[in-house]
Amino acid sequence: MTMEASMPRNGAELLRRAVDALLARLPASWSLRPAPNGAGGDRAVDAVFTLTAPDGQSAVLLFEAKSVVHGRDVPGIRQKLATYSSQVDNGHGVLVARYLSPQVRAGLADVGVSFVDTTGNIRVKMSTPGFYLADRGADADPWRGPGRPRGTLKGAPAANIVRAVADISRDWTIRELVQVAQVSAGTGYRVIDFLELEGLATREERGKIAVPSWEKVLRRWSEDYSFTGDGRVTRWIAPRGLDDLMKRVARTESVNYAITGTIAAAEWAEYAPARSAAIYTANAERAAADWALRPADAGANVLLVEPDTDVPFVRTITNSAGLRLAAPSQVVVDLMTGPGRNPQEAEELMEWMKTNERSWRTG
Amino acid sequence: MLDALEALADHRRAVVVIGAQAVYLRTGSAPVALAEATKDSDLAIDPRTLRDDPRVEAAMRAAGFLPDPRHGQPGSWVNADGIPVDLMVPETLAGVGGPTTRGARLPPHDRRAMRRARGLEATLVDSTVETVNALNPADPRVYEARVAGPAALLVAKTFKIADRIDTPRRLVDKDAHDMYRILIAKETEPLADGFRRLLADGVSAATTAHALDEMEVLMASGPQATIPVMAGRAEAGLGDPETVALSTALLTRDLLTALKRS
Repeated sequence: MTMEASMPRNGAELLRRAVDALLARLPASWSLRPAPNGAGGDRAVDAVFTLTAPDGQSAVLLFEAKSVVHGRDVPGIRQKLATYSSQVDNGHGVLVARYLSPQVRAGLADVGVSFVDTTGNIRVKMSTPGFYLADRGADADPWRGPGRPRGTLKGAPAANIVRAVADISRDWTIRELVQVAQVSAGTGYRVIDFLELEGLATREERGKIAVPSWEKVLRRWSEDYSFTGDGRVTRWIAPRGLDDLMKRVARTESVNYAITGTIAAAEWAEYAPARSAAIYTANAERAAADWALRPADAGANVLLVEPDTDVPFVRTITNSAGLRLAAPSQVVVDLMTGPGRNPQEAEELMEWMKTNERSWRTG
Repeated sequence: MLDALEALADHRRAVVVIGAQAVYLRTGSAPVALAEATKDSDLAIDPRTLRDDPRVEAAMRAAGFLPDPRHGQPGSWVNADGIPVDLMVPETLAGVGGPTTRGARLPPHDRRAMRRARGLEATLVDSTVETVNALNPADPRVYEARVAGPAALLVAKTFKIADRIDTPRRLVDKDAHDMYRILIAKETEPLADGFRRLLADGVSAATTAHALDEMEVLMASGPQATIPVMAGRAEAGLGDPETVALSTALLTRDLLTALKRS
């Protein structure tokens, strides 16, 4: 679908583009027309349209336009649209926004809020008349300029905080969190503010911070962190194969390492035989020498990463074979951002983590 | 295979298990993507310890084996279940015969009972007695038999591939993959020791030296060399051909370097 290149300047243009986007995708036998004045009930509604099915059944679409929507805004929007639609016969609320991020869209879908953004992300669903329209637009804000810095979870401090709130099940004070994550208080506040803005953390009474979903935090982290994107990557071959390599790794203790990827995931949720090994190490050349690896390009079966942060080495697990594995929260994000079938393996591991939360999260 | 060993029970000391069965016995634990199971049996015969009686052809027929009509070549036998057995004698020990002679001339045994084959001398020198089970887990039979060692198997496979290199349709990728399987299952130093023993024995020295020259060109020169490429291709769609090819070349280079040092 085509997308207008310029940023919508005001609410009216936002609504016009959203209605155009719906019209462009509407089946020929359906119609979408402005509703008569007063049909929308609440005067705060930004626009009111009538959607009519081929059999004459119709619904009243109540549009709420917002330039920017963060994850934490979702509950409020759901409430507002529910109030609007309760005042109108067969009313159905639709959020219109300039751009909606994948997390916000997932949050809206979870609570059943229909939405349209001007990049073409659409999900409108109702039962009377039976109607479902969905499309995919941009996954990154095309109008995010240098003048409007967006928070991220890039960098070591964010990584440390994400891993702490994922691995440890509790409500936190800022002081406790920065202590466990070993980051400065200022950085801690910045990261928590960002998590709050994204709807991933909430402030409880007396300043406690709650993280309702470690899964959402990890998924959000995977947008800003990846196994190969946040460190120095080197490629090697273990010529006698991965089982032989694992025996060698278990025998040597000279260099700090943490196994991640398919091999680590198999400890908790085996998915498919590993074709390659993915290992964090503080010193790739020394590890390669200890483990009898040879440099390789084509045919490599081992990826070594010297990470930019120490977080992959935090809360590692030593298995029965004597191998040091990265924590599940680290492994799952590495798999989400890995090649080949890694993302499916990540989902498999995520399922295991949800079912067995007590065996890997400490409280 | 056990049927063949049973047929030649009286010649047990002269019979050495070679080929895929021997590779399987030597590398059963090597983690590779191809299944090892094969019903073909290749046996090397040592003329130095082969008795006159019973005659090999009579022993084979008595155990239900007949000359394999599909090949029409000496030494190829098959039983009623379709189990093929090849009996082969290392060329330099196979008696008189010109370049076109195919049968081993070991009277009083029939000239079509066993086939002469290049490169098998090493299997008579590098072998140990091992316990051999049936492929079928329901078959309880167990035999003690001489089985070729890993160094001898590498020599034999090198000859097999090198001899066919000019007729690519006769090249079988599985042979190269068997070599890869041996290389990853055995550490370089013990394997080099096996080669040193072969080079020190008059029966196998020339064959082994020749095989090492071929391995230099066909294996160690890099992942694009003939045997690494074949080994990798054998895993196409199952494993990782590039990794197999590179491993084959690197481990052969390691072996040759170890031998040059000594």
